[in-house]
Amino acid sequence: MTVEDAGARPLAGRVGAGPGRGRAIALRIAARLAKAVITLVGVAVVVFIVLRLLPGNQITSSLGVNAGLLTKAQYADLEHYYGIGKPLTQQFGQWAGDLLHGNMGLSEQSGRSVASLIGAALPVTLELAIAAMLIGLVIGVGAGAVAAAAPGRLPDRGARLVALAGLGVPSFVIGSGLVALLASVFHYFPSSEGFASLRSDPWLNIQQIFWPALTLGLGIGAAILRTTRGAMLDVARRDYVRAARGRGLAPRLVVIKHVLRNALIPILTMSGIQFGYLLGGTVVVEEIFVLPGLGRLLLMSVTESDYAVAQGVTLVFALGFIVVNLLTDLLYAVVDPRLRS
Amino acid sequence: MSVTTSVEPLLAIRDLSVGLRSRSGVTPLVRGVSLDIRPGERVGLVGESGSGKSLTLLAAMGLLAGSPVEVTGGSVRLGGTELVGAPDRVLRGFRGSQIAMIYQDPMTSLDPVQRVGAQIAEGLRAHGASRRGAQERTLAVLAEVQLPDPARLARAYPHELSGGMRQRVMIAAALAGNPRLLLADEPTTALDVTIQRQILALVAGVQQARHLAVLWVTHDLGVAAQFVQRLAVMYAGRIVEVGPTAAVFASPQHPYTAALLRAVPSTSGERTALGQIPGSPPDPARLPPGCSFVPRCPQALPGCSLTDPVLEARSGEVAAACLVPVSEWRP
Amino acid sequence: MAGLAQAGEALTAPLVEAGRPGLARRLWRQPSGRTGLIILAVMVLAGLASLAGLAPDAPDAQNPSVTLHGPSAAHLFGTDQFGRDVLSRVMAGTVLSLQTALLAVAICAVVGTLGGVAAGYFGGAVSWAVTSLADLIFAVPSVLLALAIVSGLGPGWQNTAIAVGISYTPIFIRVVRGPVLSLRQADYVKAARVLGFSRSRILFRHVLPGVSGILAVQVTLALGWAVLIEASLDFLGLGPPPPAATLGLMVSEGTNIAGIAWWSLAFPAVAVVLLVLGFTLTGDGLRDALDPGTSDS
Repeated sequence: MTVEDAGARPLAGRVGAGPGRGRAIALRIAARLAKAVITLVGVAVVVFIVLRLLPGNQITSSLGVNAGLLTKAQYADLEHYYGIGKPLTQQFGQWAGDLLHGNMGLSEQSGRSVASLIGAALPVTLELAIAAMLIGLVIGVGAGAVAAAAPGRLPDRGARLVALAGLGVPSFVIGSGLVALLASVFHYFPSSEGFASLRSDPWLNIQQIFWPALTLGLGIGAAILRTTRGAMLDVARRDYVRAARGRGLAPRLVVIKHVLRNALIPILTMSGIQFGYLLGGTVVVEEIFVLPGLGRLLLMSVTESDYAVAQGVTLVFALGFIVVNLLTDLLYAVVDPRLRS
Repeated sequence: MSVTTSVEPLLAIRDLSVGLRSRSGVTPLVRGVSLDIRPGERVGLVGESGSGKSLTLLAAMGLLAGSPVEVTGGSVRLGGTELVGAPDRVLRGFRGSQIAMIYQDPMTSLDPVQRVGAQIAEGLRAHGASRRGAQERTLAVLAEVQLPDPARLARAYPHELSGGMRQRVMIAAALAGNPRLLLADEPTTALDVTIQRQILALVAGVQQARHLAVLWVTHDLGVAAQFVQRLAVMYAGRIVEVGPTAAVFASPQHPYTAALLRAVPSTSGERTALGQIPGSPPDPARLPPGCSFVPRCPQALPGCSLTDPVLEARSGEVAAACLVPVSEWRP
Repeated sequence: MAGLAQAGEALTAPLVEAGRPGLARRLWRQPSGRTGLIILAVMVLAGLASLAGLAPDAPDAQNPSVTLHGPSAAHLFGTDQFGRDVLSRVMAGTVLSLQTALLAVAICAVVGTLGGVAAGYFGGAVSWAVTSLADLIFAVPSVLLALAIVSGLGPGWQNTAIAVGISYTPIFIRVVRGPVLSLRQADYVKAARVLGFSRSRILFRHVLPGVSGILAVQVTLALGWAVLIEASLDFLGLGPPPPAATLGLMVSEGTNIAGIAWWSLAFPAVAVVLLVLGFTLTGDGLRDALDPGTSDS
């Protein structure tokens, strides 16, 4: 510990804003972006290799049993077309190059471009993800704060029980249960008429998105509830909370200004983690509720060995995950001033 | 009987008891403490860790609510108002504006995600100040604690300041509401020695200028000697000796006080070995019968384990809780 | 220095605690641990009974005469559209889920712990390589990864287990690496090195025991997670194909006929939930029993 000097020297340049601080922030963002790009490239390589390593190739997958009927020359032609014989690095280079030009290849099954398939499916999944995250945050932070306000009492025990259910019951069970319930008991089939976009029929769209978003949101909300409750209880015990009360602040003000504000950090962390699970969850939920989103697209492409589509969707998912991580990192700096310098 | 005088005390603690509530019952941590603090007086509360001195302060502010430690008896009167058991609304009115507290660790006592000036101002606004008024007052009090460039410093976050500066900020926050009484819970313990003296000098200056009453809790007798007019010594949740500082130092009436004084290095030239108090403070859940100091007391007599001595006036204005008069002490 | 010694103490406390005979008792006293253990005991017993052939019926024995009968004395959980006894199928499905989860967690626990220990202990390039790989696997959402692996390797419970295991490995690496990193700085480890103990001896006798508590908790939680993902994959049709009696498939088929046969959906669903909850609660209880400071309650 240095010998500190608490008053004679004027303030060192640490305190307050200035041109130095702006540059520091820009550097941090640049560093994060660079890392994100590297991770994305890494994922692309992994995806590429995994799909190429899987038994069977594009020829057998698109022709199936009929592949055996090809003559040697025909087989060689197709091999050349798919670039199968070439070294992996060359194939990857070709694919990456195409990718940067916005060309993700063609779908085997439909013949449409992968880019257009993804473009159609992306808004659906985006809407679903945002809605699910919102529901999860509202439930999680709301119920968590209520639980933390009176630990051990009825609202707390009830909230923790619900959280346990949300964590323990898989989304496919919740989703299936919901669909079964709505269909057989309430005779309610929002998905029967085909998907309605937000623009064409907002009310139907909301109905179609709400139930799957609720299914996912319950799981997310459960985890965020536990985190919020734990974080708020932990922060409430800290010295600075006691000091704030010691200055005469009303309890509600103390909770909002000091407890909740400091609890945001672990809540933010958990939200980021939950988003990761959310992406995987869309596959299941879109399947159950018949939503034409990226998850369903991925599932179909993988089961039908439509490699180009599978690659493209996986990349988009990874990109989404990386972007959210980046945003979370930046949000940390907003919430916690200690991370800004 | 506690030592009281003719001037009406600002803070009157009578028979205060604080205990830890657990599944197996209540463990007493503060047992029947009585102490008066007069306006403008500097009183010190000295004792080892675990003697209950910090809890006494927290109990006076009503800041024990919500923890498993609670007030189990006694009274604390500020001016004429009873604080023990008072509704939070009443206590809030006093905190910051009549009675304020500074804490041991300035890093953990300041909210890390809020600017320092805002933390001072929020207390003022809670007592009805306008935004502008609170701002002006904040800058004024930051200047009073000799912090440079108050306007810039108010916008700083706690982690951007040094330990000494953070402690000054905390003192400023305590002074902002113009309290009549300052409770100090070992505010210099976590600081470097050089900074300790600066902070001590600062509080002394502020106390003089504002005619502030101060109750200063410490385990360091040296700090107490420099600053307080009256000294109370705590052991195992009880006050065992109390009196004017000079008198207590010159002629301690309780063996524990005497042992503490022997443990302080002397600069008077005598080269005697530093006295040590053998043993350690008792577990509050398992207090020995009678006087709790018996296991470590060089003067203990058989009768000491039978009755718990009460604080009684001795020579001068010193009171002590010991059955063995000084004249009969063995060397 | 004192702080590091304390940190080392704190980290090895789980081992000391684990060694104490009171651990099981403390786990039992936790409400979450107790409930979790009871649930798990029931499910494991049911699974063992199925393996021992004690189920009322063979899981794929079709009885066309009793299709879609509700719960009755003969068929406690009712029958499905092929007249198969739902109770027997649920018991068989429990066995499948448990063995898949066990294999999956075996994979990720071993690989992940080795990776985490290597990264934490050796630091430098090794740490960078391991954590980068972990981050990559982590960046691909687990269901996606499992999808790709299973669709490539083909259906079958072992492949599902491999897929689930690989996707959870990064978490083990992360969980193990942290404490190992701290332990490396601990005074007693430094002392061991100065005394000339071989690296592997330090690793096995000093560092590994320090993370055993954390490992135990993580393994339990991983088992719950593995069951969840495995059931989801089966639900999506990526696990063993029909007529295999997997809980996921049963839920999927059950949803279609839920209107007329709620028991086909309800019982397999409850079984999955019980398995996941059982592991999660036990894991929570273990965590609280090992370190009461971080208790939720």
